[in-house]
Amino acid sequence: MADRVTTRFQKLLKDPELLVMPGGFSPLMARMAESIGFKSFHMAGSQISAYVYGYSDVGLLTRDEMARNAHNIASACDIPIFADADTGYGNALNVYHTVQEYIWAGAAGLHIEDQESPKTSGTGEGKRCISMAEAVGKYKAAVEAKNEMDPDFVICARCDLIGAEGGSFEAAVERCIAYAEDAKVDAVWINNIKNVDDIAEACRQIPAPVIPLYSGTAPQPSLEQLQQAGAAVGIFPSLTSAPGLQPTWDMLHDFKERGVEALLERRATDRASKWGPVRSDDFTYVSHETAKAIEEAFIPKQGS
Amino acid sequence: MAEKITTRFRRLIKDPKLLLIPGGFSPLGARMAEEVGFEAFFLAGSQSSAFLYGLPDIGLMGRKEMAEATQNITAVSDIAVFVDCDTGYGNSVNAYHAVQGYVRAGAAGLHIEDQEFPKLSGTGAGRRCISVEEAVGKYKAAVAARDAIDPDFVICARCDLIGADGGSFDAAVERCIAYVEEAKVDLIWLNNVQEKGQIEEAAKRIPGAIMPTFGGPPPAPSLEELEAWGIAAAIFPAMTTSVGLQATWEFLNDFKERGQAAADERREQTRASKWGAVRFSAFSTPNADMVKEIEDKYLPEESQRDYENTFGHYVPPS
Repeated sequence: MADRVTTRFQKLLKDPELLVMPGGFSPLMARMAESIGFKSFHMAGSQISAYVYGYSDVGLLTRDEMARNAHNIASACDIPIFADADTGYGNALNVYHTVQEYIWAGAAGLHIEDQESPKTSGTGEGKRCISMAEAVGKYKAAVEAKNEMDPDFVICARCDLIGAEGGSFEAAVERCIAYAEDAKVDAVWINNIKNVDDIAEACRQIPAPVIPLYSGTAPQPSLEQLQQAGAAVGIFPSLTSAPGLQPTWDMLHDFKERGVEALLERRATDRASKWGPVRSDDFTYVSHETAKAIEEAFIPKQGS
Repeated sequence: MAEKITTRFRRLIKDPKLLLIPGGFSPLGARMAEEVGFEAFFLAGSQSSAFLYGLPDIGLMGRKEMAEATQNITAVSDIAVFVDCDTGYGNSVNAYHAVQGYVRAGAAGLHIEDQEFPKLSGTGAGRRCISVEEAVGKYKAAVAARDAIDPDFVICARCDLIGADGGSFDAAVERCIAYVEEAKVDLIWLNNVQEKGQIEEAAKRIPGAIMPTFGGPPPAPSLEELEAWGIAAAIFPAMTTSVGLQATWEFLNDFKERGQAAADERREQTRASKWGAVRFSAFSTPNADMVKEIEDKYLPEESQRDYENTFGHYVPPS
């Protein structure tokens, strides 16, 4: 039997090679990423909020909605899904339940951030973190919840302290060490790092695979720099959603101005693509061939 | 009080001006369409299946899933949402129930197609239609269901007979006439018309508002031609999705090859847009100002966030 998806995800995290993880909201885009050769996919709460619900990433979504979306993505692909679980949707009790729901949903791992619940976007200002003791308790609850069902499921603690009230890089690293040592999480995501040296410093100090999210001024670190700094994962939460937004905005305007001509022109451009034109049917997980085969095998012929 | 959304949609359909309905699956796409000035949005089954579930458009999504997708859009958007109801998910009993579910989800109208249940994609081969009697019965059920709760809600019959088993343009037009005259539907969607001239002919023969989709070889009719022929609406189910799909495909390949340089280059291109660079947060509800206002007004002092002395990710100037 093939490796379970959780086992595979644990291996990928521990592999010395940088795991490049595109993110988004759509099962279709996860399958697209899979077809191009990416080995895992991040279900980003910000992208689910926006594209599935039209909501801002300010803690309006619930465990149930997120778990269902994780299920939609996980059931469509073979690659491990790393799912955003926000704050775990409450305290340690909610966390325990959330972890088990995500395992049932088919995710390979999740991350829980140390913000107050309800949360605000990890990329914005105004963040407030819970105490380190409360956070360690939550992560211990998460680890116990997964150990009961699937010890290979990945629990990642996301530290949002940099930029939050009373936060600093040093205090964030100290927390991450506690999350790894005291709570025994499988990975640590340190958010909002402002320079590449801090990434390397965090990776040196934290005794667990580190997912650093750079959020300083341009230039962004290259994948090679992330790898050299010792990062386990390069995570890109909007990699499969952001590229479509601007062209859609442009297309709607262009169509409004020029009508059908705008559509035809775009189709011609698609055909000229270096990587070929694609249709959504190219990535759906029940192919038309599969559907036809099922019809032929199991549906009586007309008149028989 | 503002005009009800169903009343407004009904008025837009009746208006002699051609109504343009871009489609997709996402509340964000609907909000973008609204910002650009479109007055209606189509929640397409094909796009919802693909982008929300990774599934092809072969009748695997159910009533409840579409009703939820509808509500996700109507909760954040003020334009009329026209919803794909496939075959009504069964017979007249299912159709009756589906219509009321969509009305309550806040849709302004829906269409039901005359295919056999379970359906196939309206754009592909292999379709089979139910009998005209059964279809008329279904549309009568749909009309009765909406009359019971909101008479302004728009019921559209989609005729999928062109290209289906035993179908023809003439037989399809005859059906459409029956759907209007006997079942009293508000709008006819004549699917898969193969020649431009047939659109003009259908508009003349069918005694009601029609919305044809052209499925023939180029040239496709222009919006001006459609309006001149008296067409009520033109629908573009993948308008807010297919562009993004292609762009994402190209970007993911490019990123796989070149890494961060591909992302940096894309950001530069975004900034050069004639219509201005956009971020997804621009179309999300509630916006940052509204969040702060609610926090200011209703949270106790000690729970207020400190936006002054905290920071988030660096946002490059656009």
